[in-house]
Amino acid sequence: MPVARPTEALEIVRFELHEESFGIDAGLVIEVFHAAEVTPLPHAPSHVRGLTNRMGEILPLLDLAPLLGLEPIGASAAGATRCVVIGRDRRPDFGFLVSGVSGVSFVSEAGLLPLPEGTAGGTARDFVKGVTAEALIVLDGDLILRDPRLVVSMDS
Amino acid sequence: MQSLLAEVSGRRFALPLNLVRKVLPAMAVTPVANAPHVVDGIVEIRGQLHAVVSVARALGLGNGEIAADHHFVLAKVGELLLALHVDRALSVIDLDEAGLVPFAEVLPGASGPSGAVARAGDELLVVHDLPSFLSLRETQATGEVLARHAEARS
Repeated sequence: MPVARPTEALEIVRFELHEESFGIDAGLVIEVFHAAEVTPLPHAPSHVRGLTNRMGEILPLLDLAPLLGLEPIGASAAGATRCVVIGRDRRPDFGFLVSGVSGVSFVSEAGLLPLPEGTAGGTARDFVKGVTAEALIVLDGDLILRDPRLVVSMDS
Repeated sequence: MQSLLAEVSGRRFALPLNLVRKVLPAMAVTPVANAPHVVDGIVEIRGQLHAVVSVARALGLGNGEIAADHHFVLAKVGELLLALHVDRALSVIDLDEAGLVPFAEVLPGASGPSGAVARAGDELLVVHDLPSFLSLRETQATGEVLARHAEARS
């Protein structure tokens, strides 16, 4: 029997950065893929891992972990890099590295709790909508896509 | 755009040929104090001091130990004479400028690295901007290293 969508629920894609579980608005997720090759760049900020080729399209690959107060994500042992591609209107803005993806589920936005004191500071708090009772940190994807450090500007 | 195709740690990239002066086999490097992290040391080539830049370290691709079959790509960037240490200089290629995508069009954030990227089949080929290959601080420190050793020599 299918699970009914709860009222006021937010559909999220669940993923892991190291040991922490996160969720992001599924409406912003375009796909999850393995970047076979990441092209590194000199002097790129620590959250910019490089560029990758996604079906002939040049896609920046970011590491959100340092912006969330976590250690950077390392490439997997297989040499491939799993990432979640996000963007508005089905147009990819960037991919970000994840340790794993665990599925899609619904969370109640009204039931989200504030991030406990001491768990993360600074930028991390800015990006967080709240935490579920199961300790899943729900990110604010719109804020992430609007962050000046993460927006692609052709005027730069 | 005429470019030199080179390889470091299995990754290929291009350098604009207009700033490249010569490609030589790698040679013994004199380590120097107070050099930036990306500078291995200095070499004297035809009476001129060059700072040896580890492209591997600049790109975060490991320590980039110098081996006998490696190459130095000599380039003049501003007043600096550089010997860019690469695993191999492969060939000169002609890149279609219309197909080059500047980093600013694909990278987030206002202050990113300079350069462009070209699609070569499934591969992304980065065309590094030599004048900004070293950061401002690295450029300054490298200039000081070269000046200090040139003075000591004279």
